[in-house]
Amino acid sequence: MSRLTSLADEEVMHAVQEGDARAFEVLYDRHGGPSFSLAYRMAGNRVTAEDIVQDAFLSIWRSRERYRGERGSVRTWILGIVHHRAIDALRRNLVHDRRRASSEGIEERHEARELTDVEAARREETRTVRAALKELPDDQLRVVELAYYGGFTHTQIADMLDAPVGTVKGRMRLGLAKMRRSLGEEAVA
Amino acid sequence: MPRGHEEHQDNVGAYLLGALPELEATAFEKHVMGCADCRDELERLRVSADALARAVPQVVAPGSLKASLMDAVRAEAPVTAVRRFPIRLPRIDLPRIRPAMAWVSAAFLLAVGVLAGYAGSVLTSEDDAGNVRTVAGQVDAARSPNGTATLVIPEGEGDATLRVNGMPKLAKGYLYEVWYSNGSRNTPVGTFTVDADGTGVAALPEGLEGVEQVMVTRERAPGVKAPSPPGPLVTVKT
Ligand SMILES: [Zn+2]
Repeated sequence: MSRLTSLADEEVMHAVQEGDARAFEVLYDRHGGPSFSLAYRMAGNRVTAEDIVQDAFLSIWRSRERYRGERGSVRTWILGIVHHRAIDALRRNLVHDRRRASSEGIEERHEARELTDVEAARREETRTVRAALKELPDDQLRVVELAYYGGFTHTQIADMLDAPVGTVKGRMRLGLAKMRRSLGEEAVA
Repeated sequence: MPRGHEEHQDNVGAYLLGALPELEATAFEKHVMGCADCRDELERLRVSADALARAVPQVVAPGSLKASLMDAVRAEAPVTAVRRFPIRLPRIDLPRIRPAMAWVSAAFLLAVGVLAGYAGSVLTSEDDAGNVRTVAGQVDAARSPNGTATLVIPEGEGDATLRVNGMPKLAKGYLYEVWYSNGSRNTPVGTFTVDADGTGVAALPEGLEGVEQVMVTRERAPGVKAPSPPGPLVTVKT
């Protein structure tokens, strides 16, 4: 394990691609927490969040040979898969809870016991993104949150807000563009 | 600019946020492939969408999640470096195999005795994800002080898997050999090697019906008829 834990994500991923279950464990140890946090934020309960993460990581394991490391970081790739799975899970639910996209009531429980450099950098990054979100006008923030964390489609959001679909789409785009400027040129890989 | 650009360019945000229904998302992807403007915009704004995944409050994932995930993954882990022999299980016709266990000397039993409390215990059973049973094996502590062995047995279809960790590295020309034992007979089932960390995985053939123990010995050549002294490094009661 010691050799694997010293490897960069990309190298760990290569070992995973060769079917190394221990490398997969390292992958989970590194990204399972942020993945669970995202799933929990979206699902609003631990049971569904666990299902989502289990589902996402199993799909990563089972389709490991298809991973291509050309774009973005391993973490971004994994979180993208978790996000997709979470949206699927939310859309399968017949009852849409309008409040589920709200972060109210989700208290921060953490935090990682060891404050490593990596962990510190990660928290700094989280702060940066939250700051960028805070700068969004309310109407843009609302549609971005409902879509990304709530898993609602543009038409559902338009219904909720009693706004034209085109307006909703426009706010989404404007919101992401504004965030992009706040995040600056140093890409959050 | 490709046709339909006007109607598609406003979709970039919704697409990145996952807000487009499947059909619309597919149509958008198709347009983007032929539209450099939309592609640039997509890559530029993707950074924002990706960042949203990291902006959430960080909560601690339950340990049970990792346990059940890794159980499922280990049960599916491919076999590395295992070579199987044509198998004939010792149901009826293996009269020449030596009356077994003679080499399970008192010294060996003593050595493994230390681990007896742990070994043989069922570590997990009926996990939700893969329905597997995991049994810890006995490892000869004298020869492999850090060794562990785990037998993962699927409840339904599928081959059992033997995983070993912390095993002694093999000298050149040596192999680890897996045996099935039904108490009176030992049948070689295949060989495997371990990596630099002493880790190895063997997919066990033919199911474990009638097999009382799975054992591992160190052998110089594959295909030996009986385990060589000093006997098994690993014993797992099924
Ligand atoms: Zn276009």
